[in-house]
Amino acid sequence: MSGGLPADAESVGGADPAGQAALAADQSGVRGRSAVAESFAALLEGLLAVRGATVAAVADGGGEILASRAADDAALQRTTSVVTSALAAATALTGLLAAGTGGPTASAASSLPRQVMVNLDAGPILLVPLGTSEHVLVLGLASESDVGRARFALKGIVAKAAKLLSEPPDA
Amino acid sequence: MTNLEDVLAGLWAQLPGCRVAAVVGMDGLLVERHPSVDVGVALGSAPGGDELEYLAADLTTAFTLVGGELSKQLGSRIDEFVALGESGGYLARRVDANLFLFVVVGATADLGVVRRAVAGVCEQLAAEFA
Repeated sequence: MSGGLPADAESVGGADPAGQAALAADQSGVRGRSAVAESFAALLEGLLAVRGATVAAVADGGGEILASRAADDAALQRTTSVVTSALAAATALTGLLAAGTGGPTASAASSLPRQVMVNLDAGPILLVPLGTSEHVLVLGLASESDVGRARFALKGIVAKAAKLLSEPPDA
Repeated sequence: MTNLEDVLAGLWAQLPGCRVAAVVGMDGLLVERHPSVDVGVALGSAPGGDELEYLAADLTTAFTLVGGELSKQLGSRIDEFVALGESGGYLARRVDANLFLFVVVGATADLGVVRRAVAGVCEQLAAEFA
């Protein structure tokens, strides 16, 4: 699985230079798409090297893919197409769970999901929020039997990813 | 990062009669195994993919059970358990709070050797994951 990735199966930012510049210059301080893509290149390669992983990506809170690596174009396309919906569903579910378990008195931190899995016919997708940022790590898997291995690998990677997002691009 | 597959392959190779070695999360999900499903089926000795996943889930339940009243009565947490039958047995040992390792061995395996080897690997993994 590791190595040998087709060059055209990776997406490190969009093709629109104006859009990239606008994102990079975001006054809120949120890191731009190209900066995220650059920072996450090695990390996503490492994640894709986990046996069973078909897609590794970072998405923003709206589900837009900022950087990705994939074993093939079809897997990337499949994952990209469901990330927005999956994130929206996860957000709605989180709200319901918070209302059911603690309601308005529950702390925000206690209601944040640590991981969401969407189980599709083509394989599960794991969505992992990165610290306090609005970014989400997305990991597509070939089959359900890869979930344990992937979750184990993610434990070490999530902290690194959150750190990458909190560091300035040149750090 | 520790290559669990290599560690398990080393354990499997040093234990005569070992059918499979695996690491499982305390959530019941299989993390890694050796030999792989294909090789294990070809050898005709290791459990298949689904069978090992059921086994992992059952052993997790067993660990959870012995971690309750049994540990309380003993005065310390139970970190290892052994289940034996005429045709072989299971040995499962906790690596840390999140993982445990287990081996399935045939009737010819030396339990003392298996215990020492598994304990050594668990200590090694615990140190690396700490």
